Amino acid sequence: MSLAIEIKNNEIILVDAKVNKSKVQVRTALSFEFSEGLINQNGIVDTDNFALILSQQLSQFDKKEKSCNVCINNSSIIYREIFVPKVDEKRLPFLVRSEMMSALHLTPDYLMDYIPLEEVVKEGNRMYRVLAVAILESAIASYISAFKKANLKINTLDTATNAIIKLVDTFGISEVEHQFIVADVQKGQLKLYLFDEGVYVLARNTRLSSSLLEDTESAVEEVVESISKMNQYTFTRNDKGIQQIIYVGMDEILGDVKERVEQILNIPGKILSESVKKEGLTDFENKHVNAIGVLLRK
Amino acid sequence: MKKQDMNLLESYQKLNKLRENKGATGRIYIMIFIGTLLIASAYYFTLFIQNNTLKQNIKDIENYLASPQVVDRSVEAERLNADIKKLEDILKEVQNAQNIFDLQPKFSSQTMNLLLAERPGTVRFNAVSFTGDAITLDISGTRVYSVSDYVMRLRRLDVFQEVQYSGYDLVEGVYNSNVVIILKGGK
Repeated sequence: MSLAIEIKNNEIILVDAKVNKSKVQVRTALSFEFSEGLINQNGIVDTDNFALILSQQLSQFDKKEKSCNVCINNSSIIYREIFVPKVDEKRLPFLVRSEMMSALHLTPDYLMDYIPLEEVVKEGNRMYRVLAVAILESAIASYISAFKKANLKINTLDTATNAIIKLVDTFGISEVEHQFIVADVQKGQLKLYLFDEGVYVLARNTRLSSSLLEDTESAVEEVVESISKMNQYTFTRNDKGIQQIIYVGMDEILGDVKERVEQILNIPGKILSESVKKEGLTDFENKHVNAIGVLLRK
Repeated sequence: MKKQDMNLLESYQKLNKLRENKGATGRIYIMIFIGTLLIASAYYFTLFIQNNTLKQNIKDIENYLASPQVVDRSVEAERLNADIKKLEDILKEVQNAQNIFDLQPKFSSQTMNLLLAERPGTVRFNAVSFTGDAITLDISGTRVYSVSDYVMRLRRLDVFQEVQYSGYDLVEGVYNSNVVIILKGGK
């Protein structure tokens, strides 16, 4: 059994699951909210308070695991797709770091990590397209400190986008040959991940002005509008358009969103939990998607 | 590509390890520096002590040399040295004189024996005199060739500087002559 913890800006999702190469079985899951100011771009502001909240929730969670895999899905992480020359793999971290610092004007206080997405030829040069992430070193230190105070050892610190990429790859969604979107519909936020022929292209993050629970109709309209914009954007890349949308996130609302998008934009969709049951993902809720993705290690 | 997954914790740990290693390297350099400084200080201190000891010794020696007893002895030694030098000069002069004496021509019994040995039976010595480095022989021969034969024998010996012969006087059938022999100096 492995414990995965997704840390959002004001919510934590705990998932205890049994994971092997092709099968994920969720044992228990729990989510709880906390005040939004507790986490910002510098990481956890009050580690003692955070550790206390986490400890309390863990005691209810009946979890004996002392180690966990963490998914950072909040404003402390920065994503960027960059192109770097195809060089020796040992030199890539330095190149990625330089490129990120230059592109985002980051200070040396940031830590970077990356995954290569694909090899491309750009202006005659062989290059890697890379998904790079940056986070303040002090932010990581705050996560480690808070989890230590909650008697938890962190095994891995991963990111939401990478979790989605791995999930798509592991459960065969990547075999779809068309261009599709993974739409992570959260309470006040919408994340759209664009994939083309199974390869991650980019992600767009939209803060929803309306609450999906309180003013569902307005919020769904915002979601539809964002998906529409993403659909329009894809025509700047190719003329395939979006052929499918895979919905993850708040289970309560996903059906409505899917139906509305199909009506207005005429883009077929499917809810991940419904489509992956036969792929070996059991007892799964769509809001666990990032936590599950973190448990999938390559 | 070997790298297929992200783990920011790994990046964080790598960075910290790198910093620790850098810190360790820095600490090693500091330790080496401090060690070198300590060794250099100890060496400097040793040299300082030695220098002070030597200075004290020099001062003691200078004081000893400046004491009246040592100064008196020094003056005495200088005087003795001067005397020794004088004696050495005298000895040198004596040796030079000795050499000169050795080089001076000497008339000895050996020379006389030689003169007698070479003398033919027909020649008789009337008188022999020695002045400076010259021996004068007053001789008489019974034959006309006797004196000249004697002179020739003496010249052939090649032990004299010169054998001077200026003829004879015939008086009552006897051939009288004076032969002057100049002696060679010694070596």
